[in-house]
Amino acid sequence: MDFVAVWLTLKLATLTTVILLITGLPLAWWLATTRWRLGFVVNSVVSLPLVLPPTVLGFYLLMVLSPHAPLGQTYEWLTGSRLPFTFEGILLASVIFNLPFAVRPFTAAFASIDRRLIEASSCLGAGCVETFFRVALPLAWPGVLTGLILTFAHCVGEFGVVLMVGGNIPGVTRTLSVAIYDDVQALNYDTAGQTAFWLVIFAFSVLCLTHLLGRRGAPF
Amino acid sequence: MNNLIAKFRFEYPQGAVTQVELEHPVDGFSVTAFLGPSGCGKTTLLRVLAGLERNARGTIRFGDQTWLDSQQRKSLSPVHRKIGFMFQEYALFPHLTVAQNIEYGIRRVPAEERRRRVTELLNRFGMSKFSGRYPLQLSGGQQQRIALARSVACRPQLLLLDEPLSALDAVQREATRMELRGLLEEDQIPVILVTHDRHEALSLADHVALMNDGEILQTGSISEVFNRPKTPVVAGMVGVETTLPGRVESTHFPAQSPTHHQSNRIGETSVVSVGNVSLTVAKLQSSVNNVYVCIRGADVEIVGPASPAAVAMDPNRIPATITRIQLFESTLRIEMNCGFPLVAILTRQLARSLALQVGQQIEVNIPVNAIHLINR
Repeated sequence: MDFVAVWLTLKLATLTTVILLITGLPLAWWLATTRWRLGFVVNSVVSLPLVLPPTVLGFYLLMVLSPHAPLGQTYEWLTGSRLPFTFEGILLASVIFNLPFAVRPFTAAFASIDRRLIEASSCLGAGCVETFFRVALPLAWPGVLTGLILTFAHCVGEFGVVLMVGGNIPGVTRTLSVAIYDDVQALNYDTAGQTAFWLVIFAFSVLCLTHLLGRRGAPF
Repeated sequence: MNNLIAKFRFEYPQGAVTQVELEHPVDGFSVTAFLGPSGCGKTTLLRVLAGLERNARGTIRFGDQTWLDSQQRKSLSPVHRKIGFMFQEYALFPHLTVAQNIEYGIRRVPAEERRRRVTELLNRFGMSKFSGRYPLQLSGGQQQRIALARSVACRPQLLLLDEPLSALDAVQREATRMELRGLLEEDQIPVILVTHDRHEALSLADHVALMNDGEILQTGSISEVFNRPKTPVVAGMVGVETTLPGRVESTHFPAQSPTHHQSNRIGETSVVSVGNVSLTVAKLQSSVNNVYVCIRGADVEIVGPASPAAVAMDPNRIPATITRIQLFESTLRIEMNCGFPLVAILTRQLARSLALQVGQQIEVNIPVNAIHLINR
């Protein structure tokens, strides 16, 4: 097995999960509590990667991040490097592509909290942020944990977007699923089979874990 | 003298409208109950007062604070209204212990003072030994006490209670009703509560406002509203058993018969007919022809078995036939026909001594001052 690819994949999945924890929680909290009429539009945008072919998303990301596009130019001006075909590039792509896998379970977990608890908290003088940390998060943690596990697992299996944005550079953008593809192309069926087997075991264990969590689920 | 003055209209997207105008003194302890059937907008009223519903149109002023002024697009967040709100199902935080729940509203108070307040509240509500428990390990009555303790912990300037007793079972409700007012009185916080149970309103409140279909029908002191309802609907809501249309036969009718020596005590009277029966009532203040006659069952006296020889000492002594007898915990409800359908409420003791039966001919007396008239 390509252990460089294993390390790269774990790094990508971990960083994606951490970034989505930090950005996804506030977004999900907002989605779950907003009374804004157009909240559903934001919801749809978040869920878009679920239904879009990874190649479509990858294509647009490639366009937006290219050194000729404003965003790509700005990034290059800020950091001196480019995003396509780099680790940072696939990290960004992976964060965007995994957004629904984190935000949707988070939102569901927040939405399932009895609204009156949130209202009780605000009547007791706690603002939005304080209510989030003192009431919402402690009550929603099983859902939040499920979201994080799903994100991590989905990220490990990510293929299309990574290939589109990152290509196949060993040690930089060559993740496990890209490695399998590469091995099959090169007729290395043994190596591909080994990697595939371990990915199946991994995915199965993760799903078992989330179901176990779901059953023990809400502690209250 | 500070008052809560609210005048607003709230419309649900589905169309239900709640429109109220209310005033409540907020300088000391006093309880106003909003009484009405479920779905009449009571809870909405409370939620708008708390700021949980933000889209009300109108104004709410609390002393010199403005809580709502829809014209200036101003609506103070519930976070800053400094109120206590007790939800119908209590909404205790399930992940916090009893003590932590009570502490929630005073989490910024110095630790020493906070601990003292929590201990004091736990003692007052008789919950000291439960301080480490979680809400789901408590009975409904205990949860209710913790919810109340939590909402008064920060000494709010106004306490709002949504159906404070309705989540309790009958036994707990009775017990809690007795002591709730005493517990509320302790902190001298003005209280507004909503309930569908008139007994709850009677035992807890000083003032009552009757609500139906999103509107306030009548407000006043408990005795005023319960004894002098202004409409037949209100009369039904405050538990008047008999409300019937009647015609005024004569007003300013001086006592005409020498046998009516009691009319001196009653003063000048009028006569109202209900069906074929003429009833003597207290003198009418205005000249009207059509009225509703309201008679509380508890005021109807059953004199005894009908006897032709009985001398009518009371002007409203009339024969009646019992049509139905219903047994309650401590009373009996006697439905009868005395020319019109009439209900009497008797203590069991009295009913036993009279040995009443369905079909029996009896004589009832309706005291002149017990008859309340509503203009029709």
